[in-house]
Amino acid sequence: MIEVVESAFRDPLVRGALSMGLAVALIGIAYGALTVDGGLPVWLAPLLGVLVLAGASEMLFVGLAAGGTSPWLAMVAALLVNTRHLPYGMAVRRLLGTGFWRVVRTHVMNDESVAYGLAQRDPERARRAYTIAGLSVLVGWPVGALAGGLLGQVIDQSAWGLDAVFPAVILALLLPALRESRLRVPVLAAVVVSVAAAAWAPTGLAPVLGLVALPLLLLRRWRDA
Amino acid sequence: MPELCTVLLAGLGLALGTFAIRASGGAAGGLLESRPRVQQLMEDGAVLVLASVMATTALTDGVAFAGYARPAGVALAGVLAWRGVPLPVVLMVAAAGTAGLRALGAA
Repeated sequence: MIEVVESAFRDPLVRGALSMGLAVALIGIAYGALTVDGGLPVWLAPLLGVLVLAGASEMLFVGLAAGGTSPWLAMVAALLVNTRHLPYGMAVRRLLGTGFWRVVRTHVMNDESVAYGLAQRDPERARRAYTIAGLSVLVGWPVGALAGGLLGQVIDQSAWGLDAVFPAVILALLLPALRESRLRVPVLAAVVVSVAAAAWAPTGLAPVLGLVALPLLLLRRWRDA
Repeated sequence: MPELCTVLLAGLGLALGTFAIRASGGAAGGLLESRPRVQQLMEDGAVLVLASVMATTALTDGVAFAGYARPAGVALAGVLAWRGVPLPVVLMVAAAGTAGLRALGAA
């Protein structure tokens, strides 16, 4: 048993996935603290963490509900944030498999697991990377949320620079894809559009608007053909 | 503060709705299994969305500019990741760089 664990830890794929779980746990601390600060019980953030498992939408939901917005309106706003899982689902559908594991892999679909899975070239490796990263986040996120709820406001997120961890995870995972030159211009366009849209688009919709750069890819393919 | 029971029910609705969005993405993708070019386009689409998630969280607090410290920390992490530094180190540098800049007085 110990040997199995030891050899698993030596696998860079597993180590990468575990560090992702650790990263979301750090972000989860902010989420747990926010929930308790809003007058909601300590167990709520970890429970939603397990059941919803989509960080940004949970923080929005809890923030709105604690602020006095109708919980049903908060639910609709939070669902809007999760619309990006639609293109994610399309992109990773080959990694989902069938039966029980399909349900599990569908549930653990998130920014980290999708980016980690898509970063692998070999399909079997991609499925393994996606699954391990997803499970690692499924554990790390609620544990972080619980810790945050218990610690309350002892930890100052901005003083520790924890707000930089999440974008850094995604950037590190995206770099292999950016080595393909065909994606560079469309990615730049998506970044410009979504950042500009963040000022006026409803919360969570701005990243999805990055999809307007897709025609640039088609244009390039048409020109190369 | 609304009733805790209502918050719980809405939270459950959020969980079910989110699962439905994830599952329908997978199912809709399955219908296009025989079209490799469409598949490629969907994967590229996910990369574009991920890049947008990264940029908006690095540069904004959801609405307005987030200040220089966070994007600087993220950029530093990007350089290290590009050079093949392991992910845990990259993440620690992102947090430490951002925290350090703030300690020095950068917004």
